[in-house]
Amino acid sequence: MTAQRPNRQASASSWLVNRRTALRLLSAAGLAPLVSGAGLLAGCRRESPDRIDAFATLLTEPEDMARIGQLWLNAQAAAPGLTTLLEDLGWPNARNPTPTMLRRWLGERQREDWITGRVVAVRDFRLARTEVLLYAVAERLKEQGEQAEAAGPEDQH
Amino acid sequence: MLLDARAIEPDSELRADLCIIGGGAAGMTLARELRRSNQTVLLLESGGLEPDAETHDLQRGSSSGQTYSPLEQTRSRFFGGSTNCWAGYCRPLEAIDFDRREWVPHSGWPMSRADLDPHYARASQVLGLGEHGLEPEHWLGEPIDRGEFHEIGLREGVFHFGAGPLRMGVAFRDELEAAADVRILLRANVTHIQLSETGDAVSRLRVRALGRRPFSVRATRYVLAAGGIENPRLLLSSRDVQPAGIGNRHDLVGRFFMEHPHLLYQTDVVAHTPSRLARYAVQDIDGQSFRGLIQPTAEWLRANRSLSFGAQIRELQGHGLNAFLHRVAAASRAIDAWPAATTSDQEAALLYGLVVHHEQAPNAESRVTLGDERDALGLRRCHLHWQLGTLDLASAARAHELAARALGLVQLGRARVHLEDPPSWPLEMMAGNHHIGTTRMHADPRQGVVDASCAVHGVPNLFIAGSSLFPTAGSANPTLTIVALALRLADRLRRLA
Repeated sequence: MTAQRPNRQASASSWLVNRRTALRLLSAAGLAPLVSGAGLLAGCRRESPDRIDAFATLLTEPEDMARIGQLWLNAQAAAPGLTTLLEDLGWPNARNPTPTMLRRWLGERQREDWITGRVVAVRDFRLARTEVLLYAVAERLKEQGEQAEAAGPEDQH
Repeated sequence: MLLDARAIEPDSELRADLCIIGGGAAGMTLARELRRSNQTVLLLESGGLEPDAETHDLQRGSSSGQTYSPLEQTRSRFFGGSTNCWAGYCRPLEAIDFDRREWVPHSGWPMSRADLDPHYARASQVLGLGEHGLEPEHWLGEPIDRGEFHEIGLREGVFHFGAGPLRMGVAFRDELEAAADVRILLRANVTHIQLSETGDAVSRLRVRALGRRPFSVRATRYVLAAGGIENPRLLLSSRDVQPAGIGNRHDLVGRFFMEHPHLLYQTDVVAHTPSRLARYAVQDIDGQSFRGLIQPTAEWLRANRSLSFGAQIRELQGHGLNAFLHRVAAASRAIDAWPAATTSDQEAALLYGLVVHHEQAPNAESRVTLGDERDALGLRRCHLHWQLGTLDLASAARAHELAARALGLVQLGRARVHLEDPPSWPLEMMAGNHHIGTTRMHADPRQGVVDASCAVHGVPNLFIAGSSLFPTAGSANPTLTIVALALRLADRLRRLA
């Protein structure tokens, strides 16, 4: 039997993080020191995206990823916040990695996870640690995006 | 020539140069090979041409230890033996299976895979596996990965089925019946193997049809090819000269019983690109069926001090994906699409499950003994105590974790491992109905029942054929190896004739 995927596009769009929101979240999370490229918060250039922005653009199935991330976070004795997650994820050596470079870098990290056994169980599924961190980022961004939306319409552009 | 034991005069004596006990994969292979070999061959088969309830009942027994199917349900007892009920899975043992592995007690065959290779090639012909060899490259075509499997410690393998499970009793009946120097005696049950007074040779067999009086068979050489449970049963039952049973001076007969524990769907897989898994379904090339599997490399087995396994990946037909599984499929599909465009979002995700055949380590406490109950021939029935050990369980758990990582690594989807923590065997675990190791082969009589030529230590005119010879079980289904070893033994018996 071929299973059909439920359509969750509409609900996903309600919390998808746009670039501006991502920058707000970055600031709120105190991540300025982690940002590659000086003065990012003061007005970052499109060719040197900040980490959250960069990661957010990769989370193309945000609701699905966030749900898995939520399950993992809920199972942690001390669930990491966004800052810790981003620190754990790290960042490529390149000063201003392009999205393609970032994907390749994450893909390579994930590949290493599988090979070396850095594997995390979520509801018995064996997932690469890198992908779980990204799923957790998706969940944290979702939470903060929802909080941002709840904070007021002036923040939404 | 096909004969019926019910027509043999009681107390008479049949003579032959070679007597083969058992008309299954090993016995029939020997009989076919030894046609026109300058010797007369008499094959004794317990059953008839069709199954019957009375004969079937002779293989009833009891069991303890790990739950096991009723013994009579794990084999067939009529012309063709268990080739009447097998599923046709053929795969050779790997080279490492023949090696002595220091982390596997009692491992090591008195021969190498290279020694057996010529016989595997011939066995492939016997079983109708075609001309393209046993290695996976021809069958599976382009590898599914770009070297990742090997990097993690796996490789692909192939099960061969030929044109389907070969029923030897049907396929070879005419040519054996037509052979002038081969007699097949149906409904002929061996009830006693009589040793000479000095105990160093078989002098004759006592044989009976059900409900009839016994007669004798006298031969120059004998081959016991009655299967991994009946072989030790007959040796243990024949104890008038050697009180512990024939070949049992060192208390080895019946010990080291091994199976292939099957863990079915303990690991399942949400495949986001199921078209890539088609290679693991049964396929057909030029009338030859096969299916892919994944198996560990020798390097991984050594590094992890593990036992072998072979994992099939089967679609779980009729199992839809619940909401969470859809999420896993969607998320992992997106992630896996990053580094290379290997996935397509056009495919609907499907659920697959792993069917994993595990190797069991040799274990002296896992054994066939004689029970107290007797069958219709007066023979004590078998008691099987199947016992698995800590290495078996640890290896199985490692195998499932490895497979789960590999499937993620090659971007097929994500696997879910349902083994408990700490792992335990399922209460109702399936096995392969493969009866292995109970008359093990070893050059040293203190460690094996038969020597490298398959002759019982100390009884040089009694040979054994079948999976009871295997010192270790590997993870491959045994029939191909049974036939290969029988061909090897046939070569020796031809030289002795």
